[in-house]
Amino acid sequence: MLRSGARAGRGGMPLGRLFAAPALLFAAFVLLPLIALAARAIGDGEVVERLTSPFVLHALRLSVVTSTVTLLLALALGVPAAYLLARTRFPGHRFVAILVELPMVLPPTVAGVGLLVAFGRRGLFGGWLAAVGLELPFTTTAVVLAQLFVSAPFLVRSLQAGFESIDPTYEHVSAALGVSALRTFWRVTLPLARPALLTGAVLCWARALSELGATLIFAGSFEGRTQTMPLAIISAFESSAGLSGAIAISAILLVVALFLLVLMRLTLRSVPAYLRDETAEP
Amino acid sequence: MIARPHARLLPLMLAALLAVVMFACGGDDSGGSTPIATAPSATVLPAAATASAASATATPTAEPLTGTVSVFAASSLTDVFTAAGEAFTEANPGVTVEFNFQSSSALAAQIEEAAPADVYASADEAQMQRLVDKELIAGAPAVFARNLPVIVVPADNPARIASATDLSKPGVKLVLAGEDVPIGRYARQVIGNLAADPAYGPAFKNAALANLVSNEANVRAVLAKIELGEADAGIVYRTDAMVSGDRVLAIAIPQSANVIATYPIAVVDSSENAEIAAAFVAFIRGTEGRRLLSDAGFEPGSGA
Repeated sequence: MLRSGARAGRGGMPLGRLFAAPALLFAAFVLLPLIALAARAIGDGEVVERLTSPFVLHALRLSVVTSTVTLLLALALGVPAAYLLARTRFPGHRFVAILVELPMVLPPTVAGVGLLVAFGRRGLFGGWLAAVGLELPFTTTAVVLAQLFVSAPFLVRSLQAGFESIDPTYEHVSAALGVSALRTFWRVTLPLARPALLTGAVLCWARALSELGATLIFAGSFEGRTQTMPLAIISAFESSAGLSGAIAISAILLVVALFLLVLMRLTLRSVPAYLRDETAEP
Repeated sequence: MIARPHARLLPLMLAALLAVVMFACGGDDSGGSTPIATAPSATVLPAAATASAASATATPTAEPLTGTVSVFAASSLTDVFTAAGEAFTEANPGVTVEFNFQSSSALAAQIEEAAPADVYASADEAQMQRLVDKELIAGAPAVFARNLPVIVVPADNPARIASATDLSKPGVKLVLAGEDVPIGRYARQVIGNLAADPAYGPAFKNAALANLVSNEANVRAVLAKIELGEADAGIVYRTDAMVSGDRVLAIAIPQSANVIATYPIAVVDSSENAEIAAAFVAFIRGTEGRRLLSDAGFEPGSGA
């Protein structure tokens, strides 16, 4: 029963009452584990102790470094790819678009197996790499590649949608005014796509930071070299430290993730109002 | 113009999806969920009363057992326990056995967090003791089998490993299980024992561990990396090398330095199927179980 007409007077949110219950349920479901985790971590008091242990510090540093490198690589490769997907129509365009989205729906372990089969020592291309002395498995590079594979599509997809929503007229006007194509892209197109770029970058970075399955299978797990935070959490959980060890490390990762999210949102705030999507919550 | 077959493609794809779901559900019941994606999956044996003339040597019980028993067992027991499960359900048609095969340490962690296990079979006493200390085990664990660690290399032996000494050769990619995983602990003990031998020297240990490139989640993950040829050498159980057959080459560890892996089994205290659990444990420790274990290459457990 939607008495939207009658409710319209109360702040103009006719669906507020109807949607409040499911929305609150969802919010509670997402918040409760995080709150429980934070509460347990503070209560147990192990967090500070663990924070200074080499095991955790190595994992933290590795996670932050690899996910940042992944993000930069994703930007370098993904921005041009997204632009071409948005602005041009080549044979097999739809196929490529689906391929780009595939890593998003693929289970990470499948991605890991695929990377191993392709780039492992006995892999399809791995053989050639090995011939030039480049063996990828068990290296930090492999961690970055695994993260890149699973997280780059988030950036590309978001950015592609962003580019598609920009009226090509702006670019035509810029060209008509004698500005080179590259400068147009840098000064006109990209700034206009900034919200999509930043959303995509957040998703990409977050996905890279949390990557587990592909990393384990392709890169292995070794402290300081390939054992990222998610791998460290699993290792702690299975060790004699058990759940308390895992809680402490999880709490640390939670704080880091929160920090990154806030950082991203603050950067987004500096986007001029006319570029920001006005209907979205800032 | 580009043809748009969407009108027919969509119902076709939905039908295909439905077919896949029906096929997946219509087969075995899915059971024994494993929370950690990287671990080997659980297998379930339905209570099908197979019409086998050569029936298993069933221990006669007063009443036929019915129900489900959830067995958490070390990864190295995957093949032999699966076979044992089949034999057990043949002898007890009313029973369904669900397996959860992962590293003993991962399983212990899950049992600590109240995972629904009825039987726990570990690859070392330390992980079993971990649960005994937390009063999660009913009764006293019994050692039902022993095993021997062995060095394995890929079938074509890319690093030309001929003996244990070669583990310390520079550039060798060594893969072991994690420190808390039984085989990981045993392997490190072996390396330590070798280093204590004057023929190897203390530098052996540092050199060998410097070659370590990954701490895998369980013994089968180590085996997989060797089979794939991604690593040059690993330490697994002799029984795992047998399972891999031609895909790996096994190199014996000098007997003086080798350790004996002892496998205890016990009923979990919180089990709601204690009777079936006890029956399964008895089966493993009984004639049929011992035969299956020895066929798989396990040494007998301590007497009684």
